Amino acid sequence: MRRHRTHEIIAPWSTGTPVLDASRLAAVRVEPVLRQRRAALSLDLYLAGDDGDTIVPLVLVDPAMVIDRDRDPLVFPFETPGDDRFALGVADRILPHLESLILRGERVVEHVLFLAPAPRFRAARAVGCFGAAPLRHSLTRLAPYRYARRFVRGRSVQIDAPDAVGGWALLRGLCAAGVAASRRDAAAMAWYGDAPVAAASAEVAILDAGADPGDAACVLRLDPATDFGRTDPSAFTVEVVDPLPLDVGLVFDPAEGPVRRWFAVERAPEPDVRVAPPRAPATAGSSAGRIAVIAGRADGRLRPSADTDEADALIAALRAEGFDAPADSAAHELNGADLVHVVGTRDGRRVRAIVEQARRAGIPVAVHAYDEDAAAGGWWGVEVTRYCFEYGSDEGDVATYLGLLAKRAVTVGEVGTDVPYAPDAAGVADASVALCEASVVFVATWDEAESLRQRTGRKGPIEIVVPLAAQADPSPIGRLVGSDRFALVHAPIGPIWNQLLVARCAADASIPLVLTGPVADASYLERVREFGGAGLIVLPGEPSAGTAAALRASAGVVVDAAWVGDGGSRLVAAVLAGAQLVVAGRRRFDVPGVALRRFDPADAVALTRALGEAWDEALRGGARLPSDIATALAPAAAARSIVRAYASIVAAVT
Amino acid sequence: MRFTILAGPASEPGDARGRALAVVSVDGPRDIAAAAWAATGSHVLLLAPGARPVPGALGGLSTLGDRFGVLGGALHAAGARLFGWMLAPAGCGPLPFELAPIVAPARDARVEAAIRGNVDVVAPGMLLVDRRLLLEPLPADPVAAALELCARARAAGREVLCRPSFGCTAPALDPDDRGRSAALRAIAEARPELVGHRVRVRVPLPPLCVLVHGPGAELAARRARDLAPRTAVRVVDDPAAALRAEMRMRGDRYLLLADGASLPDAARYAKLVEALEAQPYVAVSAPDAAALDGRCVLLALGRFPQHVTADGATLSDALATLTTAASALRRAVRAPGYASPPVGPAAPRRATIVFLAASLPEIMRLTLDAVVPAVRVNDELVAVCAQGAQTTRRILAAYPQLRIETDAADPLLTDGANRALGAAERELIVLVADDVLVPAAALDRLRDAFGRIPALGAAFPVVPGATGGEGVTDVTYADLTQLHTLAERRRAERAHRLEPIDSAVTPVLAVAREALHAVGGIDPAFGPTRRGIADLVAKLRAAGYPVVRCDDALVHRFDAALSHNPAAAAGTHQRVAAADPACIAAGFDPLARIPFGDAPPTARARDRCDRADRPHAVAVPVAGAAELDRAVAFLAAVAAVFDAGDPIRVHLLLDGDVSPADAVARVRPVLAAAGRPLDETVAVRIERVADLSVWRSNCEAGQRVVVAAGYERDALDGLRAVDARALGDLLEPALS
Repeated sequence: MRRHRTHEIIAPWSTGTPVLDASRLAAVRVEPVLRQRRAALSLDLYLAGDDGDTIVPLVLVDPAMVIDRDRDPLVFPFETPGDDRFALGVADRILPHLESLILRGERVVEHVLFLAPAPRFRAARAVGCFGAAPLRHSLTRLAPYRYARRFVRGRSVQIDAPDAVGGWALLRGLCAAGVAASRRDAAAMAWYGDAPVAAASAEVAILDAGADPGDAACVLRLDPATDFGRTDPSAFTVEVVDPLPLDVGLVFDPAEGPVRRWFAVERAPEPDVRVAPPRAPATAGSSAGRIAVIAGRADGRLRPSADTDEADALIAALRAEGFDAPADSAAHELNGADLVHVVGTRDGRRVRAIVEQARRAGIPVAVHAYDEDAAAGGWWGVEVTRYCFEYGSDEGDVATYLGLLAKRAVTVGEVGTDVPYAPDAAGVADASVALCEASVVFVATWDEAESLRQRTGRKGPIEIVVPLAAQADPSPIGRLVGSDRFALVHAPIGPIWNQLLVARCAADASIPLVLTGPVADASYLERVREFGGAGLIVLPGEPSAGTAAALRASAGVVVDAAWVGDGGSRLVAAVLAGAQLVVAGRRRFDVPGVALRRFDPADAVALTRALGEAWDEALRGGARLPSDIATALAPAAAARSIVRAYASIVAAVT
Repeated sequence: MRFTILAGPASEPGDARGRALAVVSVDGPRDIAAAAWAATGSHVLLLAPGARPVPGALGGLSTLGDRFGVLGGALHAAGARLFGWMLAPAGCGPLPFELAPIVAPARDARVEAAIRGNVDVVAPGMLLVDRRLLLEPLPADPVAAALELCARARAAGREVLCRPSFGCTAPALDPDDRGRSAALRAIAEARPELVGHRVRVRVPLPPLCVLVHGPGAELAARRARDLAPRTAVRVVDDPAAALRAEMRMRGDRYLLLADGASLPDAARYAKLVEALEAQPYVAVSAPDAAALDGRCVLLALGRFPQHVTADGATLSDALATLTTAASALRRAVRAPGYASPPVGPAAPRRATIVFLAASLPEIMRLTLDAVVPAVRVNDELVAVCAQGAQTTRRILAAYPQLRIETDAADPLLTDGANRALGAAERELIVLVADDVLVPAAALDRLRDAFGRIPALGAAFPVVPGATGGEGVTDVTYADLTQLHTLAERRRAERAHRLEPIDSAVTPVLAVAREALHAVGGIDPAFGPTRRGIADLVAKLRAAGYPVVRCDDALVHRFDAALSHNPAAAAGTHQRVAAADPACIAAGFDPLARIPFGDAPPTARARDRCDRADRPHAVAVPVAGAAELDRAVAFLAAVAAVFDAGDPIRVHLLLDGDVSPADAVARVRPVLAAAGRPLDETVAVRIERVADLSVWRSNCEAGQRVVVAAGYERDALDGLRAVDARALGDLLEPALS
């Protein structure tokens, strides 16, 4: 039986003895969907039993495979009971219908193939149940409950709202949920199962407008009659996007499409935010001069990452030292600067142009290198990793491809591991020239300095400095992520940052994962949602500094799995926030006294293991950060090293 | 032409300023709509954020006429040019279309002629637009906006044109395209007319043959010549016979059958082509079900496997045969009103298993013991061995369920194998060489593949280390016990997984009888060697049969040094060229069919027309002991056919580790066994050769050089291969 572990909403379930006899297949709902931006079919199977039914939703079918059967065309959800015999029996009953549908060439619309009387199916379809009704409708109904997952783990939950039984079915594996007696709709109960009656009070309440939440610590209010934003400024409104299954499923980001409904998080407890070490007092320096701090990539502001944070932290630190360091210096605004500081070398052409322009103008140039020799495997990983998920049409394929990825045996076109590879746009050669010609280069570790000298032939000074971390007071985040610990990836969402592998591994390890950052590639985000499991929380868009600080201070584990890094600023911030760090082995980052769990970003097994160990450590409380390390990591300390280096190169130029 | 420029953020009109009635900065759909309301003149030039016209982009606008609503061009970004999109139908998706981008590398000028003209959706960047089309706000997403704009233009009866020279540079489309799918769905819901509207970019279509029949055929034939660029038109009196003649050799081409009154015009023909090209499994299209009787039918000939023929006394009968066959083969017939006849589940195929016994007896016994349990009720099992292989015959005789065929002369057993293949009575023919160990159920997996793909030609198991498509490199095992364990696991983990392959070289395969009968047996010039199997696979593919590897069937092939299998030993020195897509696309020529019996193949006979009076040099390269064993058998055959009076000399070319003394010691008894004095036997020269190409060039000057079949070397590539059975042909009169 081919299985998939994608688009997890509600796993196959039975309301009685599981029915694993294909001859009991009573109804098949067929819906055309988009999967990985290609047309596909999604099937919901309804098997009628004597003492209850079995429902297998989201059986995926590639239409071309129905005709050219070089695989079994039906790909079942991972938790589907039964064996090959069951799968073949089901296929025998369904495929002739699908085959004729596809061969006819007419446009396929959502429909049901009835193979036997199915009154319970019909009733469930009429009330919009998942597995019986079109996904566009059933997902919209279940969306608030999906959002509620982040609040309910291990808690008592009372549901008194529309689609309560469906919500109970979605949450039942996570918590002790009950449904208000008046919400125990017979058709829904026959479909999803016998939802227990809710207790009088619970820790989490999911309610309709007007219902009394009592003393519930967490309250979700569904479909309120009034506009929350106006009547209750404290309410936090969540918008549910009109789904376009499967690529756009249960999504709460209005950028993905028109908003279909909304609900509110009225109350949510805040997570346990670790207390950050006291900030070192910023000493007012007496330096003078104008320093242009410029991002090493053109979209640094549009899609901020750790390099942007470091640039901002550097600007703040330089200002504290007395320098004039304007925010957002542009590459063409070097005139008038006494020194140019380029942060990062991601866009080699841009960095080289800045360095050469500055040298022509006689301005000393400092460069934060972030050098990981990305051509030696980094850009390869950026190119090939997503294909391991996209080429694999079932779980077996994905596992096979991930195995090959770990062995670095995946080649896409000319992109392999036997020769260095970097895309043209990276301008690797230009970056090397820029690093060679800069007045001073800052690196994070001794290894980075050595490797950079060997590769670029640089003779000039290279200074090792601790990455500068952004600092901000935490903002409330309970309504965004709940109050439980989670693993965090804070970076732009795209292939460079490898969130797909992290999401897959976190799902494997059943670790709740929060991804936040600007969306660099929407199709990649779709893949992340596809493979990230039900515990995945995506907060698209760059969070505010306060939110980011709170996420770090609440996260059990902070993960940096990027194939090509943006520097260690956010890792230092995570260390200061007391999170456990899981860091790609490629990353040039080291903090004496702080244990990092390193892994190969191509190796899902290694990442899963590292995540599990770090998660375990985080739940046990972890070790407190020694105060001397916290002091050493403070931006002011790093800034002083940088300023000393400035002084030396300015003296050399003058 | 003058226009108002609506310039997006960071765009630069450049040369366009000279034609501008006004330049208005706009940012977003509402701005654009407001500016369009306020603009004077009939057209506006819309510049996307960051866009800048390329030099010369605005030349020749006056020639556009007044029929166009939207003019787009090439968007130059990131080393490529985007010209727009085609709206391809997406029958199984939630959207009725999918956008297929039209992209070319930045410096590839050849595509421009094909792209110029009507296009479904223009590329955003720089657009010249009828002002009235912009009065309502467009979607915010640039691609959805372009689609909507083009839809508005068509709804207003205006043309949507692409002129590649009308280009601009602009940032590439943002990969953060969240919301695009939803925006496209909104357009699709609001504009149902978008469904089915498609203007294909003029990619080269396969050649078209038009057969026109019935009254008015002559006149219609003249019109038919303009239907497509590469069109051959014939007026036929007997269209059924003409159809059968055209189907003799198929390949990647279309055949239009129409009576004089029903010949489609260009637009209707384009619809038929569109239906045919919608999916690779569509084999027939017609304007309606009634036209399937021969009034107007377009056939994709390459999608009918070679054995499917248009049988029937009338054209209608012949076409009915084809459409019925199409349904049985899971090929679509697209004709409104046509309902495919119901096709029941495929019956399980019985098999004729042909076992080639030529390896060392110990190996042969081992592999045969593995094959015998795979024989199912109503299967037949045939073993082929050399006539003189007494030990092998004795072993085979111990298996009562087995029928024995012998090969009198060829150590590669080609003749015997072909006879067994030709005589096979079951629906499936399985060829297994005896140096291949087939674990339990592997043959069942091969058999199973034919139940799932009705048109399947051949199925190979996975062969670790093989150089063809059946080979894999990521499977390792230490011994046969591990192999069986691994095979068992693979059977479960990769159940029913087939991988279409282009080539294969291992003599272990299941082939559909109808497919094998269509292409014929194993070429005697190669035998069941790597090259012989690759040749068979190429023929099957050219004849329209898919060939697959069954990933759930794992077999083991013994090393040639261990098995002493002649075909395996011969194969180690053969070079197998990659399958040529052009040959596959050209189709299978029935003249190249290899007969199963004794009659020499016509095509090969024709190849031999170049005989001359020059003597023949028969090259028999020998690299090792196994080859020497085979060479001895070959020499025996030569000595039986020729003597010293014939213009034949056999060159035993020692290019490996066999010493001349060893070779002489083996050859002399063979020649002596012919019953003649040694000086009257066929001339044999034994020589050590370091460089076969040098030997070849020296030899070719005065002699006609051929190579013994199964002894191919790269340096002898291109020489005709002669097997023992065909030795007599060397001195036969040429056939014309």
